[in-house]
This record gives sequence, structure tokens and C-alpha cells, in this order.
Amino acid sequence: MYYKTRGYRIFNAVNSIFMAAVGLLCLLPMLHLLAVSFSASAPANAGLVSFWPIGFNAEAYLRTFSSRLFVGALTISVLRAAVGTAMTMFITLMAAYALSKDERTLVGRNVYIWFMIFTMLFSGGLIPSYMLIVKLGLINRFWALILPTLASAYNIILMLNFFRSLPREMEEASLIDGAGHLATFFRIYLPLSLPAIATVSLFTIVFHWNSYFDGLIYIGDKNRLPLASVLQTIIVQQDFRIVGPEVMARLSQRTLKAAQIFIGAIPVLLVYPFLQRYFISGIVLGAVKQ
Amino acid sequence: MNTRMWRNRKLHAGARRRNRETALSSLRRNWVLHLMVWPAVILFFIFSYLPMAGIVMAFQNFKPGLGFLNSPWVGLDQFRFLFGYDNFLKVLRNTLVFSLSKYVLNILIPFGFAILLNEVRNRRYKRTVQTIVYLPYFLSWVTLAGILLDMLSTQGLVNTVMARLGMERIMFLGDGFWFRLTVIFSDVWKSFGFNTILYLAALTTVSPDLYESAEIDGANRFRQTLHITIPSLVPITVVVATLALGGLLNANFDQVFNLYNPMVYEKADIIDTFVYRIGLLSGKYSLGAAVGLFKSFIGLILITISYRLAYRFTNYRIF
Amino acid sequence: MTRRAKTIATLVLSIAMILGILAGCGTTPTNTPAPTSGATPTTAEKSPFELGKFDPPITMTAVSRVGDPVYLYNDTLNDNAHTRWALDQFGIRIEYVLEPADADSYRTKLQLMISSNETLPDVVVYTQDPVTVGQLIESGKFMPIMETYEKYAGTEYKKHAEANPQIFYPFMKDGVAYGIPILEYAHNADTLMWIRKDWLDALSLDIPKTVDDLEVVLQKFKYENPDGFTPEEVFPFTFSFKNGAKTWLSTMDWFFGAYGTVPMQWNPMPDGSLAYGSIQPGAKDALLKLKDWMDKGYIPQDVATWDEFTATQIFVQGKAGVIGGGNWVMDWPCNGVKAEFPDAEVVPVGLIAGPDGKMGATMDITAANGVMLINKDFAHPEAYWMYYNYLLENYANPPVGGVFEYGFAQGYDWEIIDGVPTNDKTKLKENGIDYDYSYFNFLTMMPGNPARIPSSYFDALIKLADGLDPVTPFEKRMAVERSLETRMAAKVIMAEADKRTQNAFTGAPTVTMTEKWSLLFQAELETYTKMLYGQVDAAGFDAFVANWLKDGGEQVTKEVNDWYKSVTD
Repeated sequence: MYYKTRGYRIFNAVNSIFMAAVGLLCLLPMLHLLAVSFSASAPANAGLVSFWPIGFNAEAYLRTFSSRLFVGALTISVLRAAVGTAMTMFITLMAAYALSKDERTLVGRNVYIWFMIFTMLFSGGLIPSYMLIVKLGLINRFWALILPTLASAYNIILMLNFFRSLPREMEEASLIDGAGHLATFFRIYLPLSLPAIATVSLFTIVFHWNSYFDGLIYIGDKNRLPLASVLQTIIVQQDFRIVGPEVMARLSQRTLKAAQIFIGAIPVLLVYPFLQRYFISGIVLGAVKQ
Repeated sequence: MNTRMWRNRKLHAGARRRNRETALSSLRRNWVLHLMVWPAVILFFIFSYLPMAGIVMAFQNFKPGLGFLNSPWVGLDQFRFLFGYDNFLKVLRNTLVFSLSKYVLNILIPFGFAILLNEVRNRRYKRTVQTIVYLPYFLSWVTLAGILLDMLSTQGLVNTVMARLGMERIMFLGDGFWFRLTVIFSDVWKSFGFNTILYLAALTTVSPDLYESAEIDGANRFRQTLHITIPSLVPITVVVATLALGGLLNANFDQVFNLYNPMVYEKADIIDTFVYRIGLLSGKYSLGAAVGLFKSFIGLILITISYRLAYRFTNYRIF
Repeated sequence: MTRRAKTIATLVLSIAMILGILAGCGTTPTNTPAPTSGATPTTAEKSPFELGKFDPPITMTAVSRVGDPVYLYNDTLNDNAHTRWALDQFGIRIEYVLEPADADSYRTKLQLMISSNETLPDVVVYTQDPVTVGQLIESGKFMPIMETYEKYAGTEYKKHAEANPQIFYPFMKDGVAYGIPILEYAHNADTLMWIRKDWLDALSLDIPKTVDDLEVVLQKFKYENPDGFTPEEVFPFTFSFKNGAKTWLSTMDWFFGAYGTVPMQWNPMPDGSLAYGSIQPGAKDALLKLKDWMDKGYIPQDVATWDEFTATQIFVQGKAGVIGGGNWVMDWPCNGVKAEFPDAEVVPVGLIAGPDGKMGATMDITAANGVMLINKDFAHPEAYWMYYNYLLENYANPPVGGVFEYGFAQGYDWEIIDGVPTNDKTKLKENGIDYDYSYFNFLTMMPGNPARIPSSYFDALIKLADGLDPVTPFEKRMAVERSLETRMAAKVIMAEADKRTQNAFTGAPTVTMTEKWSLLFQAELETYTKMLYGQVDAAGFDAFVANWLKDGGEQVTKEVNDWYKSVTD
């Protein structure tokens, strides 16, 4: 086998070291932030913390956890990511499957496609979108966070390309067997596209998890805000002239901000290794052989 | 490319066979497919097309208190105002310097990294690296800019190390040339791990059979990579590259805004930061809308050209 | 419910009511009129404003404080110590219908609300940029306030507004004022130079009085640093230029003042006209001096990239000895230097003189901070005045024995502990009351002190600086909250108030300003910063001034002067 040759072993060693170096380059800033998040506010604000906390304490985390909004916000975020992703995937997969057919099978396919591409480029901006949400009665509703981004042209195009890369013989065989489009879609296409589904799901989960601005403008009631928006309210850039030195001194912005990066990102980081399971090569081939 | 070409040929044969069918009978036979597209179509119509009415703002002098109906119409004044600036060409050039470099590197580096990562044989090590390089994606530019300003200051970590090695101290963020490099590479650094995921997913669809038969033919790993791995990543790369063209004039406002300073305006000012300062800060929403429309049109043109070229030269429809 | 059960229930209720009435009569054995007979003749003549209370209570919708307010006990957004007090005291039910998360989303939300014609709260407070204030006023959704001011403003407010009519100027449209300015402490935005006195003493140097003195001081700080830092580590003079030469922290206006101009504001000229400070010849000389100091290593090389807060870091680290800032910098953030260097002594310094003996700095006695807009559909604009007047007259500077002597609400910011009323935060904490500045969600969005009497702050600080004992509750509070350095600074600032210049242009942005100002200001920032590094020379500064005038500056100057004439006449 190729990986037993001497040349490949040398390559493998060099490659592994290179990967470690790149990994370190990505890890160091995170370690710095971790150290800041566990430091006392004075040394953090003075820019003295590098990779080890000074004046170790977990106050920044406690301050965030003790926010009356935290638990509710976490729930809403999880719900948002789950519902939003499930629905997005449903819409995306169906549309992508149909659009992966050629013009003759799906008459008007190219019109559909450009109809969608257009939405990636042109937008009316914030004001009309807001007016739409008001008109639909979605202000202050959970669905205001889900519905507007449910269909994404980018995801549909990625997915349809994955579908097209699957061996066509299987689809033809299935159709000849008398199975309809829906059966072919569910029985053949979906099981074979797990890596792609995992990828697009991950993109969607991360998108929902990180979105904060829609929450801030569509949801007026703070008890209904998702986590990303709530974190925004805890570390508000205070206007010094109004709050005065006594308040500024009490807010250790840096440690709070650093802590919130971790609080905000950890749940979504945990999803990744779970989805990595589906990144296994050979599923497609196995299916064809059967 | 062998499998793909074969597949394409087959596809065309099938297409010819069905040539005689009328569109109507296809519709009758494939109505389910249409039904599958319509949920997305309806959502796009409501949440993307209806608000597009707001594009009229670009031709108005929009005042929040007056709304779309009562704001005065100004025709193409906003565009004249924008293109009339002496600085506009300079700003456009800066934007392109940033966005083109990022465009190329953000495709090539994740592409190469995915291939190298795919070669790591220890599965746990591979997954760990994969997870770690994906971390920086979750930093906001405000946070990251704070770290970079610190690290790259004349007394910062990088300069201290360089000074120890006997090199001159460099004011990275106060010098146009270094500023540009910092912007480009910090952007690549932040997002390459995340972008790699897509290519890793694409690699899973490559059939191990291909490698096995290449092995039997005596091809070494380098040749296998060259003839199997890379070609199998090309289609998805072309798709990503084409879609990214749509946002070519977005050189990342958040990043530049948080990093730049008056010293480097000349080399760092991009369309979005420029418009923010001359327009949005003083409440000129219409100018922002006009710029958005301009960028969208350029994006549309680029995507269309790329779509046509890809079809003409590789006979492959990107979408 | 069956018919019989209903009958029984009605019967029981009736009996209960009769018993209740009887019981009521028992406790107040006067012949009070039956509740149905309505208001007494005396109250009918007096308005709720005169009575100081609405009966029945009215509802006033409002905007909650930006951020994430913390509540004690079972308090909530619309039921807490502050709202209960307002209902009790004035019969005003404050209902917060907007809860902004941060300043940006608040601004966006307001803009979206006026664009889409949504109902706005009865009172809208805004403390940020003048552009948004202009849009809000322009939307026509708020009422002119001068009539309510004449009718309802209290004596404390009128006293300040009559002495400083310019507080209304930023909120005028076509000669009509649309916003009620929220008062702020006077001189709170005045800035001065701060210096490491312990370093001066160690080097046997006097407090610098001129720019030349300062140069000697900087040279010694760098090369003979008393804390033993090497010259490569010390950059004695730190400031921030990223947002301009006059700013809220790490500011330089006092330095330019030594060259006869205060940058980034409109200063009265000898001929009575107004001129923009940043383009005066004095600014060029100041910048050339700074360039020279940069070359000599007295100024950190990174100042161009530092914002106001970042520029203080090197001072806090003990590697800089001179910084500019307001009276409060030793309350925050420069007091941080004492963590590492407990013996560090930082003192405020009087204005230094330039080569021609000139002195100057900015000043703010207009003292308004933010504005309250009143919805034109709100039937009771006097409700806000009742609230604000009361706080200004009873809470801002409470008398001994007054209701607010110890704080706003017992159990929140003060408590009787061991029989003694106290508002000491550590004592409160020991007794389970974890005071947070955001408990009281005051309408003015100013935590701590929602209503501020402009003169009270410096008056109290100077009294304390002179060694007098604090007498009033406000003075006592200042004695606890404000450092000795802050008190000294107040004294230094007031002693030289006649040498300071207030920005004379306080109107809404003029036509050409709206069009051109951002570009003019950008050129200013670029020129100032580049001169520091020698990338623009003296001739370059002159070219900048010429272009500035040509590209709209001249027109702006004319408009500003027209405005000035219209208000001074």
C-alpha cells in the first residue's frame, strides 16, 4: 500500500507537524481570550494578560450566567437552531432534489434557479424587511427569527450540486422499478447524501446560533431573545458621559467579552464533532454495490 | 475527469431520447418535482422579493419620517453623488485589492488544506486538527481586531520577537502595505478552517474504488492526488468560486472598520467604510441603498459571465 | 354554576360588601360622601399638575434603559421600586414598551419605527448622535415643547435654562424646540493634563507650566525613569488621535490650547465671528511640536491606531507619565496604575502655556446630555415634567431630612442597619443587598443620578477639596464616591475657567455640514495623524487648510456664523 512507502512516511511526518503548527496558530488567540476571561478586570483592562490568567476568578462567567435572561435565552437559541435547521433542511433538500434534474424533466428549472440566484444578490434592505415582519404580525414572535431565512439560495445550490454528483444509474434504476420521485428522493438520495446534509446543516446551525441582530430588532420582549442577542445586551458599550466613572469602573468589559465568546460558542462547537461522524468516505460506493 | 465526462455523455443521450416529449407531458409526469420547489419559491417571494420594493430608496432622498411613499424622488442623483467623488476610484481599487486577494486565497487555501488534512492517517488527530482550525471562525471582528492591534503594535508580541531576531520594528497597522497584508491574511486565517469543511464533505463522495484501481496500476499517492482527489474537488470549487463572485465588492466592512485608522485611509478605505463615513453616519440611507444596488449589479454580471464560461468550456452547468 | 349557586354567591358577596362598608365607617366615623358622588369641589378646580398627582392614575409608555437591568427581590421591568414610586407619588403608571439591547439596535429600532409608522412610546429618551435626533424631530411625531416648558418646568430647571438658552438649540427645527434637554453636571467634560507627581518629585522637577517645561519633564521621564524602566520601554506622553484631537479621554485639546486654538469646535474670534479650531495656524505649530516629540521617542509610536481607552493602557502600566482627561480619570481608568505602583501619585495640572504664553482648553457649561422627546399624541406632557421636576428638586441634591436623604428606595440603595440608616455599599452587601447601579430604571436613562443640577457637582467637589466637611447628603456621597484627585481637578479647572472656551456652535447640523462634514473631518483626521509621523509637513498642513475651505469648509463657516448671528441677536 502507498502509505507504507518511505517517501509517503516522510511526507506524513512533515504533514502532521505542519498540521500541529497550523492548529497552534489557531489555538493561541483562543488561549489568550480564555486567560483574559478568567482574569481580574484591572490587569485585563491594562492589557497585561497574555496566555495565563492574572488574578484568577470566574466572575465574568458568573455575571453572564446570573443574568435573569440567560437560561431562557439558551433555550430559545437551541430551539431556534433545531427548528430553523430542520425546516431549512426540509425546504432545501426538496428544492435541491427537484432542481438537480435537467430542464426537460423539470420544465422551467432555469427560471427557478435564476429566481433564486437573484435573491442572493439583491435585497431591499432593513427597512422594508422590518415593515414586512410588522405587516405579517411576526413582531415579538419566535417565527420572525425562522421564516425569513428559511430558504437560502446558497444552500440549495450547494445541495443540488451534491445530488448531481451521485451516480445517475441508481436514480434511473429506481425510476424504472416504478418508484416515484418522492420515493427515489427519500430512499436513494437522502441516505447517500449524509456528508452533504451534515455540512449544510452545520452551516445552518452556525448561522442561526450566531445571528443576533434580527433578534434585537424583531423581538421587543427581552425574555424572548436568543442567546446571541442577550449576550449583546450584557456587554453594552456604555456611554461614559452618562454612566460616569463609578459604573465604568465596575464593568470589566474585556473579561466579560472574552467569557462570552466561550459561553456563546461552546454549544455550537459541541455539535461539530457529532456531525463529523458523517464525513466518512465510501458510503456512496457501498450503496451502489448493494 | 473521466467519470464526469462519461456521465455527461450519458446524460445527453438521455436528454435526446426525451427530446420528443412536449413540455406539457413532462409537467404532467413530473408535477411532484414542481411541488417540491414551490415551498422555497413562495418563501423567496415573500421574504426576498416583496422587500425588494425598498430598492426604490436608491432613487429617492429617503427620510425615515416620510417613508417610501413621501420621500422625494431624485432619480440617479445618489449614483452621481457617489461616482462624482474624486476618491471613488481609489476606494474601488482598494476594495478590489482586498476582495480579489481574499477571493483567491479563500478558495485555494481551504482547498489545499482539505487535501493535506485528508492525508492524515490517524483519525483522532485529524478530527482534532479539524475542530481546532474551525475555532477562529467564531471570533467577531471586534474581538479579533482588539487582539491584532495588541499583537501587532510596535511593542507587541510580533515586533518583540522580530526585534530579538535583529529585525526592524514594523508599524503593521500604520503602514498601507503591511496593513493590507494584515487584513488579507487575518481574514484567511479566520475562515479557512470553516471553509475547509465543504471540501472535506466533497471528498467523502470520491469512490475508494478509484484509488484502489490506481494503486493496482502502480500510481503513487502524489499521482493519485493529482488525478483523482483534485479533479473530484473541482466541481464544488467551481460552484463556490462562482457564488462568491456575487459578493466580490464586499471587502468585509467589520474587519476593515475595526482595524483601520487615519494613517492608512488611502490604502485601506473600502467602498463600505467610505459610504459609512460619508453617508450612513449622517443619515443618508439612500446613498447606502444606491451603493448596494451598484454592488449587486456588478455581482450579477460576474456570476452570469462565470456561469456562461463554465458551461462553454467544461460543458458543466454550475446551477 | 347552577342558578341557585349563583344566587347564593351574590348574596354572600352583598353581605361581605355591606360588612366592609360598615367596617370602613367604623374606622372613620365621619360622614364621608359615597364613592359614587365623584371628586370633591376643591380637587375639581385644581389640575393634576397643581395637585402633583393624577387621580385616577394615567399610563405613560416609555423606553427602558439600554442594556440588561438587574432587579432585586421580585421586581420586574414594569413593577419595581421605581415604577411603584412613580405610581404612588404622581399617579403615573410607567410602562416600558421598548427594551433596547444596545445603543446601535436602539437607534436602528427608532429609525425603523418612524419609517414604518409604528406607534412610538409617549416619552422617548435619546442620548446618542445628533443625526438620529434630527430624524426623530423631522418625523413630525413629537410635540413642540416650549409651551410645556413655560407652563410646567420647575424652578431648578428654569434657572439653568434661562442662564443657558443654548441648551435648546440642538433640538430646534424652524425656530421651534422639540426636545427637553436632560441636564448634566457643568464642567464634567472639561479636560486637563494629568502627570505622575511621584516621578517629578523623584527627579526634583517642578510641575510644568509651559510646553518647554513639559519637554524637559518628558526627556527626564524617558531617560532617567524613576521606576527604573529603560528608555526603550518608556513613552512618557500618551494620547489618542484616532477620533480627533479633542475627545472624551486621552484628549489633546489642552495642548493645542497652549498654541491658541481649541480643535474640533467653533471658537469666537476677536472680531466676534466663529472659526473652526482645527484649521487655525496654532494647530500647525502644535502638531509640529508633537512630531518633534514623536521623533524623540516621547510619544508611543502606536498612538495613530489607539482609541481613547487603549491609549490609557500604557499609563496604567506605569510606562507613561502624562495624559489628558476629565476631572474623573483617577476614578477610572487611570487609577489602575496604583495596582502595580501603589506609590504612584497622579495630579491634575493647570493649563500649560505655549511659546507665546497662550493657554486654553475646552469647556462645557451648557451642560445638557441627551434629550427627552414627547409623543405629540400624549395627552399629559406635564406628567414628564412632574416626574423630572420632582427628582431635580428632591433627589438631585436632597436636603437633610428629606425623603431621599440616604438614597432612592429603602432596601435597595439604603437600609437601616443596626438602627442607623446607611447607604454604604459594602455594609449593604454584608446585609444581603447587592446594590447595582441599574436597579432604578429612570426615565432619563442616567443611572445613579437621573436628575442632575449642573452646578451641584463642582460646587460639592470644590468644597471638599478645600477641606470642608461634607454636610448635605449629596456632598457626603461625593466624599465617598470621588477620589481626592477628582476634587483637586475640579478646583484646578474652576480656577482657570476664564481661560477655557466653550464650543459656540450648538445648533443642529447646517445644510452643508450634512453634505460635506464627514469628508472634511476625514481630511482633518488624516492630516493630523500624518503630521505626527512626519508624513505631512507644514506646507501640507497649509494645503489641507486651503482644501478644507475650498471643499465646503468656507460655506460651513458662513452657515455657522449666520446661525450664530441669528441666536445672539
